[in-house]
Amino acid sequence: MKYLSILFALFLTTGITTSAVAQEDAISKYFSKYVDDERFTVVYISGKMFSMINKMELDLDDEEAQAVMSVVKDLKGLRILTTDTDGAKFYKEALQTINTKGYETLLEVREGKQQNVKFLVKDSNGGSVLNELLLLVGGEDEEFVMLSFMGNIDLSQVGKLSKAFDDKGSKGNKGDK
Amino acid sequence: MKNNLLIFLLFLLPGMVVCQNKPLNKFYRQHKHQEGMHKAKLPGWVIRMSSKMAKKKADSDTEKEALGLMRHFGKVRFMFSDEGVAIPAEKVAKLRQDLLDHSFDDLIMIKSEGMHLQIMVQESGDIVHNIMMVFNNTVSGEMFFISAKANLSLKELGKLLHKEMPEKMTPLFDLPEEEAPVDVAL
Repeated sequence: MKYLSILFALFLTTGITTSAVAQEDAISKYFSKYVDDERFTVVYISGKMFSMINKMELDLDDEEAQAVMSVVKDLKGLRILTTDTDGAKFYKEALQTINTKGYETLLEVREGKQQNVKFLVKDSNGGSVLNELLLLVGGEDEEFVMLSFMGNIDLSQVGKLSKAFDDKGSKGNKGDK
Repeated sequence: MKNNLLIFLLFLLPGMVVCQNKPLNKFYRQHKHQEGMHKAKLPGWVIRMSSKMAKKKADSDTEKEALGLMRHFGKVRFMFSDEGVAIPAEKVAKLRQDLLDHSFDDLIMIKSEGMHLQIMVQESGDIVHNIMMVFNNTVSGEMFFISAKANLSLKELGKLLHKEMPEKMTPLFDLPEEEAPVDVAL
């Protein structure tokens, strides 16, 4: 029975991992489809960049820099794809290609066919770690924007980051007085 | 038998290293003779020798350490053009694809309205073996390409950045001063 439960757990884990990878692949695939298209503006910062920063083992004394690094080290990539032409068509296509079922909607704005904004998030650890942020914008009068942020963004680290900046701001202000 | 296999693999190793740069060699060879293209190739020993000489005259420790890192660089090739000579976008896209197939990784890619900036590295075991950067603008006809062989440890680079970073990064983290409210009461 014990072995059966372990096998079942392993099976389940494999299933979850496969679906996450497949989802990441859908975004990569969509991105790759238009990466060489002259109509699109493309920005891609790879996970390698972030992992190299992590491997540098920067021993920082600065509180803000430390906070920035703790957020940056777990990032796996940033992809931005935008175009001025056929915003509605690309928005529709992106929604069809990327299965949004695994995401939670943070924000959705729809103004007829003119404007669509969808801000989606995928989290884990009871919502304390963001695994992916996906922003889709498009419409008949709107440019198409796809922004995908992948990695493990620990919200407590983001909190520390904002606190570090706040502290610096308040110290600076006190210093002025 | 095991030893024979090991010797055979050791013989293959230099060949594999050369093969990894094949797309870069091909790209450089194909475009270096284009009209209006300026090019230069610096062998590793020239870089190492000049960095050694410069290190002796360096003032600060950080400068010395940065120049010390230059000893980890091998052959550097670059070509550039600002006279309306650009490389067709497909060729740069092909170079990227070929390099991805030769264990290079993307670091940064920006493409917009005919401009393409691509930075790629070949890294294994925390050591950077190759760095490549290409900037190509098919609209304005500007092009810059640099590739460098290296044996650069990320930890060493980290140490250098650790020394330099606080000074260089402070302006980035400095918040703009809030303006004091103006007392309008008369």
